[in-house]
Amino acid sequence: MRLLKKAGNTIQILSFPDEDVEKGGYLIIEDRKAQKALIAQVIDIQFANVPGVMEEFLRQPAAEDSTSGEDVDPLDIMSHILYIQDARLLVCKIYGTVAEDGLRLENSWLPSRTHSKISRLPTESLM
Amino acid sequence: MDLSLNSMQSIKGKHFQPYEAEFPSFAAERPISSDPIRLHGKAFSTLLTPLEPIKDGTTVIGIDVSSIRVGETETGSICAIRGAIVWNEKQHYQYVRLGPFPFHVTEISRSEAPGEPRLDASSGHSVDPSTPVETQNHLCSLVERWIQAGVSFASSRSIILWDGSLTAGMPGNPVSAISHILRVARRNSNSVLAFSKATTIRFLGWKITDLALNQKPPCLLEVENLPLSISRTTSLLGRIFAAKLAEGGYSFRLDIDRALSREYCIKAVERLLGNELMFQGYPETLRLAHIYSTFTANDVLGIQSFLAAEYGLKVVPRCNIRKTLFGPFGTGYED
Repeated sequence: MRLLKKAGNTIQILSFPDEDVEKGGYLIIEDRKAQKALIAQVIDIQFANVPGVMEEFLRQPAAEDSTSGEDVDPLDIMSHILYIQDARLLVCKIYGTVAEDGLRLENSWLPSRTHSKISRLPTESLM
Repeated sequence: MDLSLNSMQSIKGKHFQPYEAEFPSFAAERPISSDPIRLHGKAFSTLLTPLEPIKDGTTVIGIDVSSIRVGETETGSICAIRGAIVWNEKQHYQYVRLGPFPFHVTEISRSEAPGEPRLDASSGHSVDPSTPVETQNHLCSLVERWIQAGVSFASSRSIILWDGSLTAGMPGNPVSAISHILRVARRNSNSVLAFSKATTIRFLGWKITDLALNQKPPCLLEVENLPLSISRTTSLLGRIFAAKLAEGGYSFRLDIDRALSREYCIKAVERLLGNELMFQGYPETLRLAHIYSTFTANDVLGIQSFLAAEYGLKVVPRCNIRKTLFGPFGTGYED
């Protein structure tokens, strides 16, 4: 998962198909350099705006179409292309910041896009 | 395939600057000229051949290959090539896509690329393709010739459509290779037709495709015996026509294997008309072959992801010097 955008108390996270995230789940965005972390809840899951997807779909033959075919792809590059096509955008609400002094209701700081580590946070850990 | 894998062996663990996977929006279609050239006189009417479609179940096969640069390494650039074969058998279209095949283009790999060496006109010595773009085009031509050779060998009594012309003698288009492919095609009773969307060949200053624009389709305008402006260093392996094949469609330069008789060439176009859909005067198989081989921005992202994962490339953001220096005014292509 990669942090994409932050506006107010909403953040957008790019997630790949093998990352198991559900709507309603909690995430922790840890910025180790800042020694702080954001806690956010996934409120919506959308398709990521991957460039070229429309062209890709337009050229794929529809099931009822009279066109059929196959890909000879010895390096299996197509699996990487499909993996990117299925990327998702997680829209999350920020609930607070975890710092050395504990949980604070603060969302004014900006975690690093490149250094932050994003992982799932079990709901029970918030209790 | 071996050429691709061998060229990629040298990049393991290197730094990689991917190109942005944002493509310019598709250009608006050029409207057909509203003021086409009007040709009068008996002389021109003798050059025109009206066509009658022949529906005989002939299979039509279209071949196209695309390439794209996906990024740079410390020692060169990486491009990817993909080919597509589309065939129409009794109005059922089928395709095979080959690739993508990534190639690492370096000074060394450029000199090792197979094919006939390009000769310097003044000294007669062989010279390497001078730029990575030329090498990319050269590799693209190699893959295209490989596919064309395979199709010519594996099919029979078919019409094989190439994208481009049957002009040989330029880098990547050696006369011997193209002549061999045409020979194999003829041996299997295939007819090779090459469609060019754009041509530089002119007659008295007019593009040959404009000469056919105002003629009643479907027709062929034979420009073979006209005094045309053609480079003398190239070899024309095809009989050149200007073809307008559908009402309201564009006209194209059409090259047909020169070793076939004039009558056989015309019959081949008539068989094409009778057995193939023509979209704006362009064969549907060739249009689909182009669509299936073309790289989208999504493809480029996928290839970049593959390169990083498979070869352990360290992805480094690409610095756009023009944008850095000129901000929003940093338009135009990077060097």
